[in-house]
Parts: sequence; C-alpha cells; structure tokens
Amino acid sequence: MTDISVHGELLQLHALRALVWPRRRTVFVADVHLGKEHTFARHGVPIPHGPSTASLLRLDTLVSTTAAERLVVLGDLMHSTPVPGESWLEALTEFLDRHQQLTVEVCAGNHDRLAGQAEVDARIQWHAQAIQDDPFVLQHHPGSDSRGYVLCGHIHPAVRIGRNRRDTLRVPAFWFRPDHAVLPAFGDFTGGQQVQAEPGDQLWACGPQRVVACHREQAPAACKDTNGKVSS
Amino acid sequence: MLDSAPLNEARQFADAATDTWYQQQGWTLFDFQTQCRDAWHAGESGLVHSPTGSGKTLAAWLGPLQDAVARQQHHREHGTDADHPAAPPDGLEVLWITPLRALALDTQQNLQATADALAGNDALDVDLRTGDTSSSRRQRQRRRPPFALVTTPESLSVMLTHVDARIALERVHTVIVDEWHELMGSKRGVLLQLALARVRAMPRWHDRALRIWGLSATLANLDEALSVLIGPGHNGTIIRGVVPREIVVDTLIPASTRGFPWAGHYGQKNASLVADALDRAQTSLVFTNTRAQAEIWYQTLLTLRPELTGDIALHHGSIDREERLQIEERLRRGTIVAVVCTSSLDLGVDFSPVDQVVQIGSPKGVARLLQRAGRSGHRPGAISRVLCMPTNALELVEITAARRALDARQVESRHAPVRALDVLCQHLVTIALGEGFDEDEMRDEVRLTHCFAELSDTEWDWCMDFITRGGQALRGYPQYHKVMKVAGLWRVMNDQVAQRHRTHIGTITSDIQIAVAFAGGKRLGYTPEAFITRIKTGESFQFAGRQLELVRIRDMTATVKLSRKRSRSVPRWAGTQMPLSSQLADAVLETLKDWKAGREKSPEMLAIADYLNLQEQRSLVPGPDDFLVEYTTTPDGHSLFFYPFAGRLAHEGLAMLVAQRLSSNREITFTLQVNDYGFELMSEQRIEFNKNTLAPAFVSDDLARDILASMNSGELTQRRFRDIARIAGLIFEGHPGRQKSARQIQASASLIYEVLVDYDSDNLLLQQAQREVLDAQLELKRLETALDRISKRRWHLVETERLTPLSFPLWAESVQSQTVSTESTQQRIERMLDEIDDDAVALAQLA
Repeated sequence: MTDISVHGELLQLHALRALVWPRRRTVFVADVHLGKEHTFARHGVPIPHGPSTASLLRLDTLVSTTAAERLVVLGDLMHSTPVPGESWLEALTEFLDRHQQLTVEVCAGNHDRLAGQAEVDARIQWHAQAIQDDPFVLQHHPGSDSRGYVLCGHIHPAVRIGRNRRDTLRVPAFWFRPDHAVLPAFGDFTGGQQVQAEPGDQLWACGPQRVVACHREQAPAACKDTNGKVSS
Repeated sequence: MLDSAPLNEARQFADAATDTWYQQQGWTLFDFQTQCRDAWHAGESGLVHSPTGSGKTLAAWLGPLQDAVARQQHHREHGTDADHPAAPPDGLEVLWITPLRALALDTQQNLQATADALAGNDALDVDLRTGDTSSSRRQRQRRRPPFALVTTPESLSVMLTHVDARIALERVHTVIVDEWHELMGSKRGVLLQLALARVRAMPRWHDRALRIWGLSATLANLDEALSVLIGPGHNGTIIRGVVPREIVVDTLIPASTRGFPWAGHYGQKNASLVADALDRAQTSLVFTNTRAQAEIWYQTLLTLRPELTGDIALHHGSIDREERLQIEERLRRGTIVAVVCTSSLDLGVDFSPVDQVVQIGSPKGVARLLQRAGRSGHRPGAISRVLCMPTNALELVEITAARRALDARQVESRHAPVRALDVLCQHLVTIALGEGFDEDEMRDEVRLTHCFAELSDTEWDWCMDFITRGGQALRGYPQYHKVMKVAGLWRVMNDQVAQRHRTHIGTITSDIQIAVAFAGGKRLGYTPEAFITRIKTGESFQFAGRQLELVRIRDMTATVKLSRKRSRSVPRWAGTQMPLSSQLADAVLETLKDWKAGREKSPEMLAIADYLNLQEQRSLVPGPDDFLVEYTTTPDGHSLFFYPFAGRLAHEGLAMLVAQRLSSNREITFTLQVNDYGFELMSEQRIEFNKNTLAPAFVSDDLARDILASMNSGELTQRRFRDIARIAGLIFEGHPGRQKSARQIQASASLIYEVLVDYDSDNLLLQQAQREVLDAQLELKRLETALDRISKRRWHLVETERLTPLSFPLWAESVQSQTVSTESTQQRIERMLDEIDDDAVALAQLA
C-alpha cells in the first residue's frame, strides 16, 4: 500500500484497486460492474460466468485485510438492471452475510438504475446525490465541487507502462487531479481508458502487488506524499 | 437441360445471335471463351484463369446467357408452359459473386449490356445486391427476381437468413465467382464455401444441377483453387485463358547511385523521378504498398507538381466510397493525370486510358506485380509496362529478382483456411435464422466444404453448444439461448438476436474505424481508432490527401476542418504490410548469387554494385546455399543478425523461437527486430558467437510447442482473437457514423479474451486463435521450410566492426520489433514497475 496525504487526510492506495481511508475505517472502490457477463449472456453473447464472483472475492480480501467498517462504491456497482435469479445477486447477498458489521454505501452511477437498485440486497444504501464527507465529496462522475475534494470513478483510468517502448503494457491507474481523484475500475471484466496526465496530476499504476507512481511533475497542492517524496 | 429437336434449333439460334453480335463489334471469340461456354453447356463446373481484362467475364456469362436466349426463342416459336423445364427464365438463375462492392456496379452494367445485345433490351434483367442496396430495391428483387444477381459473399449470406431463401434460390443453376483468387485465402472465401454448400443442398427446380465457376488470375495452385471452390468431392474443369501480354519491368534509377538510402519504406527522396514519369504519360496509376505510404506519396507529388492539384487523386480503402467512385469514373474516362493508390485498385474494373503503372517500393510478390502491370496497356497489342521506384537500396535487388521470376512465370500459391470455427458458428446462426436446420444433415453438408472436410465431431459439438447454450455460460438461462430447437429444427426465435446477426454478417474485419468528416457532414473516409485517439483536439494530421485539424470525436465520428499547418502525422493502418513471398525471396538469393558470379548485369544491380561490394567486403553477400549470421556491437548493445530470407512473418516466429531457446538456459533478454531478409536479436550482454551455441536454436524438434511458449504472453493470439470474436458473434461494435445500438454489451476483444482465458480456457475459439497465429501470422509452414534449409545451408559466422548494408536496415527499424521474454504478464508488470522505481523518477507515459 502507498500512503499519500490529501487535504491533510492520510489515504492509502491499495493494489487491489481500492482507496483506503484509515481514520474513518473506510474503503472506496469504483466501477465494480457486477453482473456484466450476465448482461452479455441475456443478449445471446456467451461470456463465461466468473468475473463477478471473482470481484466479490477480492472485495472479501480487501475488507478483511483493511478491517474496514464501511465500504463506499463510487458508482456502477452493477452493470445493468438484473433479472431476478441471476447468480451474482445471490453472491452479493452472501458477501453481505459474511460481513455483517460492514456498511455498504453506493453513490449511484449511470449503470445503477433505480429499477436495478430495487433488485439487489436491501442492506445496500443508495445515494442519488453526492455524499459530503469532509474533506471529501463522494460521487460517480468526475468533476469539481466547492464543498471538498472529489473522489469518483466512471472513467476506468489506465496507464501504459514499460521502459522500452517496444515492450509496454496497460494497467489500471489512480488519477489524482488538483480537485478530484478518479479511482481505477474495480471489476474484473471492465477494461480501461488510457488517460494523459497533465502537469499537476498524479498517476499511480496499479500492479498486482503494489502501486507505483507514474508522474514526474510536481504533485498538486492537494495531494502530498506523506514522506514528501514519491514512494511505494 | 432437356434435349429436343426444337430446343436444339433454338440453341443454334442463340449461337448464331452471338456470332452476329461479335461480328458487329468486330471481335472474335477466344478459344478459351468457347471452351468455357461449351463446358457450361455440358453441365460442368470449373475455373477460368486468365489475366485481368482478357474476357473472363464473357467466357463465364455466355453459357447461361445463350441458354436463356435459346429458351426464350423456343418459347416464342413453340410455346411452353411456365412449369416446363425449358420454359424461359422466370426467376433468379445466375448468382454472380464479386469480392468488392466497388466492382459490383461495373460488373452489373457489363452483364446487362451483353444480355441486352443477345436477348434484346429488357428481356433479361441483371440486378445488383450489396450492403449498399436500398431496402426498397431488395423488396422489389424479392417480388420480381432478376435473371441474374450480382452480389458479394456477405450479401449472399444475408439472403440465407431469410425464411424463404429456398424459394428465392431454387431456380439458380449457376454461380460465378469473380476474382476467386482474392477470396479463397480469406475467411470471406470460407463464408462463400459454406453458402455454396447450402445452395447446392437445396432442392433444385426440376433437379437442375448447380454449376459453379470461378474466375481467377494466375496462381501456382489452380487445382487447389478449383477444389476449394466447388468442394473436394466434385469434378471440374480448369480452363486456361489467353497468354498474358508481354510485361516490361523498368526501374527509376537516380543519376547518383549514392542517392539510395540503406533503409526505409517511404523513399520520397527520389520522388522527382516519379513526377517526371507522370509528365511523360497520359494517365498513370501509382501503386504503393500501404495506405500510409500512399498518403505520403500523394503529398510529395503535389509538392513537386503544385500545378497538378486536382489532376492527381488519392485512392485507398479508407477513403470515402463516394470519392473513390468519382476517382474511378475519372480513370475510366481518362480525365485524370495520376492516381496514387494501394491494392484498392489491384482488382477488376478495366481502366483502359491508363498507359503507365508505377510501383513504389518492392511489389513483394510476383503475382502482385503481374496483376498491377496488367492495369496498363489495355489497347490491343500493347505491352504492359511497369515502372518501379525503389525506396531503399535492397529493393533494387528485389526488382531484378521480380523481373526474373516474372519471366519464368514463377507466381505464388494461395491457400485456403481450414477449420475456421468462427465462420462456422456465424453460418450456423445464419441458417438457423433462415429456414432452420437439422443437425445431422447440416454437419454432413458442412463437411462437404474444403474448409470443414476434416471437422471433428468434438468441434462440431462445441460449435453447436456455443450457438445454442452459449458454451457453459448460458446453461442456466434457457430463455436466452440464441439458437433453439423448434419442431425438430434449430432456429433463431429472438428478434433482437436476429437483427444483430444480420447487421453483423460478414467476415471482413479490421481495426475499429472512426469516420472522418467535416462539420458540414461531408465524409472523407475512415481512420483507425488507435491513430485518431492519439491526436489531440486542435492538432493536425494528414488524411485523404488533406491537412486536417481535429475538432472533436463523438459517436465514432471525428469532426475535422482543413488546416494550414503542415503535419507529418499519418494514420497507419494495421496489417497492410505484406511479407516478401517465398518465390520472390528465393529469386533474390539467386539474383545475388548470379551477381557475384558476374552473370546478372541488370541496371538495378549495376546501380548498387558499390553497396553490395561493401557488404562483400565487410561480411558476405549470401546466395541460395549460404546461411549468413553477423555479429556487431553498437552503442545500443550486442546484436546478432540472422538472414534466412523467409519473409517478415516467418522471421517474426523464428526470432521469437531462437530468442526463447537461446535464453532458456541463461539469463538474457533480447530485443527483436525483423524484416523480409532476416532478424536481429539484441541484448545488453555479450553473446557467445559460435555455431555450437547458435545451431541448437535452429532445430525443428518441438517447433510448434517452443514457438507457442515464446509468444509474448499470448499477445499475438490476443490480437488474432479480435477478428475471431467478431465473426463468431462475441463482440458487437458500433458502426462508424452510426449511433451505438447495444452499448451495454460492448467489450473490447482483449477484455473478452482475458475473461475466456481465466474462466473458459477450453473455448475452441481460443485454440483457433492460436492455430491462426501459427499458420497465418507466423507462417509456420514457411518457418519449417526455413529451418530445414538452414540445416542444409553452409553457415557463415562473421563478426563485423561496423554495421553492414544488410544489417543496417534491421538495426534502423524499430517499428516492427518487440521484446521476447518468458515472463508472464504478471511478471512483466512487476518488472516494469521495478524499472519505474529504478528510474527514480516515474516513467513517462507513452503515447
């Protein structure tokens, strides 16, 4: 995990593609897209089952290892309005059963339609509006907000890494901008969009084991590495 | 057809009508045209091969046309009721398949003109049906079917999705496939094989036999081409057309032989020679090998001859269709000075006014040079002349070699794909959508095609499972099965699936294309998404022969405006670079050998004597019996250069194989580069340079296994998988310029690939991707041949202090290269993250 400081708050960048806020025992993830393979299947496109279950298993690991009390999904928990009986609904309920003490909140994303919200386990708290949680504002779409530093998702940011330009790979990334931060997509079947960092942005490549800084510019005033330098 | 005295009389009438028409035109029938017509009358199928513009169309058209004329005449004189087998045409009887939509209109007009001449105006209708045909016209065709229909493999497939396909096709007795050599090697050819098997299996009106005729340019393996077309179990005739015109290959050689770069593809340095050549001719076709090269040459020629603005045009596959049609029309009328083009103008349409063909760069294949040369000199008795403009020094050797191979008529073979399960899955849904099928009958029918003759029961069962239950994925959702059994037949019952399938039929696949258009709506053409997304708003780039500035990208359309800024950015379209053919590669080695022996004194070889002498002085000029390996240390590292002369695709596989084997028992990472002559392995460490170390890496034992192991974390397979996924119906992409319709079920091929690898690793489409990488991507057969030859050739290991003329192009080229290592993706990510840490500053993001 990599520690950074944002508006005086310590945040940890987790290699499982999550952001941890230790003081509030909160974990943020974005764009889980549960049930995406089921959506494909419903339309006659045979994608095997598995990614949704795997995403929930990674959430298990994340919640256990961080001892989080609260999980905030920054939008797109699900991929589309589910049909009752789809296996991931059951898997989600089992996840909630395993973590009875965990509060799960979702800032509804563009994929989280109201009809869909009605189908999933009722223990999940839905927010139609941005949540103010000082010094942060939690929402799905990127943007700035006078009330605080915005944590969001939606874009599925990714970065291309590799020293030799003949040998490169694209990996998910955290994208910290002066007034908001975009989390990488958490889901296993989501894909990413390569983003270009501008001066003042921080980009963190998310590897299987750790998170590494991929920017050379001065970090924005809002985000300072706790050690004052880039580290991992 | 029936035989009776009155009918025979009618046939003589048709023959006489043909002769009269020919005499009126001042023509005489060629022997091969009569042969083809007679074979058709005898009920045979076959293949006609003859150069473009030599009368193949008429040869194939005469038989069915005369038969129709005879039946009409018979009816006029004796009266026949509509159900009589010799009744005059009343419904679709001839399908004319063309590979290009662009050719369809021209062909239709041609066929109609002949029909009008022989049968009288409006007596026999020839119509057109492609992806561009309006639905009202298609409706009309269904109500009043024409006698003949000019169409594409995809449109034929779409016809099979209609429930009444059988009624529409029951009277068809002849299918003529134009430019079969272009189709047979591709999956579009497979799609056609399957469609033809279906048409053949349908009950024919009065048991008419189905005759299938292919029209082809010269190939080395005509027997195979015939067998693929008509099915392995059927007999057919091969008819040889006229002997090709004499072909003269000349080269534009600059006065100073120092003028040739050692490497590079664009070669505009000596462009003034081409501009001068344009001045000397009426109408020129300037062929390039890639679309990017065409864009650059178009600009270069305009810069040299600004007064020709408007008289020079650019034509390639990504230029908007309307604009291409206009250019083709101007070519036909001879109102244009030059067209810079790619293989987009290799085929079909006869541009008689063209009196000069220029080839930029090596043609890379003998058949291709033959085809392009044949685009000029259509006047009777004229010589076909092609003027070659080498872009680098080594291409001078290739041009001499091509001339030698051409004189010896050593043309290439084309091979057809086998067991293309993606196309089979698509076809099965097509038929299920149409009249439905019985599983046993369908399996037998499919096995009659060349592509699926060896299809195993396991593969068949897998395909059925894939289209019905959706593999393991859909087992729990019977309501969502794509294809289901209704009254004993497999059918598609879901309207959404039906509609999506119809719009996605076809196997012509490419990268995702973004439409490029002005704000006013005028569309310029299509560019790869990967290119346009790298351009920022306000930046300029070259496209469709214009300097453009990007305004915005939305809904698969890039809006642009004209820019005054000069930009060197040109879109690069993937997969357009052809490897040097085996025939030509062998000819190159023979040419080099003869040059060394003083027997080859072509102007090209004289022009690069200095260059070759330098190669001989620093190292060695290899011949057919030599295997040259060079070793050079440069500031970049230690480089091994191998020269198997097997073409860039086979070299890509060889390079990975050899790198893998050399690194298997020592810690070493190689950077690879390949070209048509050889490949380079570069490493930061010193490499032991002796035959004992190197030779074991070239043995052919465990070849396929070792190559698969060496492939970069399956990246090649993943790239290959994209087309397969699309054909098999796993991905649906929005069409350029059209609103995306099914956003929720869009995912990139690489994402689906990863999910399948993780959760359904037995998926046969993954295995097919791997097989295609070996066969098509890396040309495994050629690679095997190369290894076999290397084991027999004399090895020459030369350590050179400086780069040689042969090694320099490899060293200079970095576009095609990649690193090979045995790491998994996870390990690679970790290593790259380590490197970022090592670099202290985080790594720059790559464009």
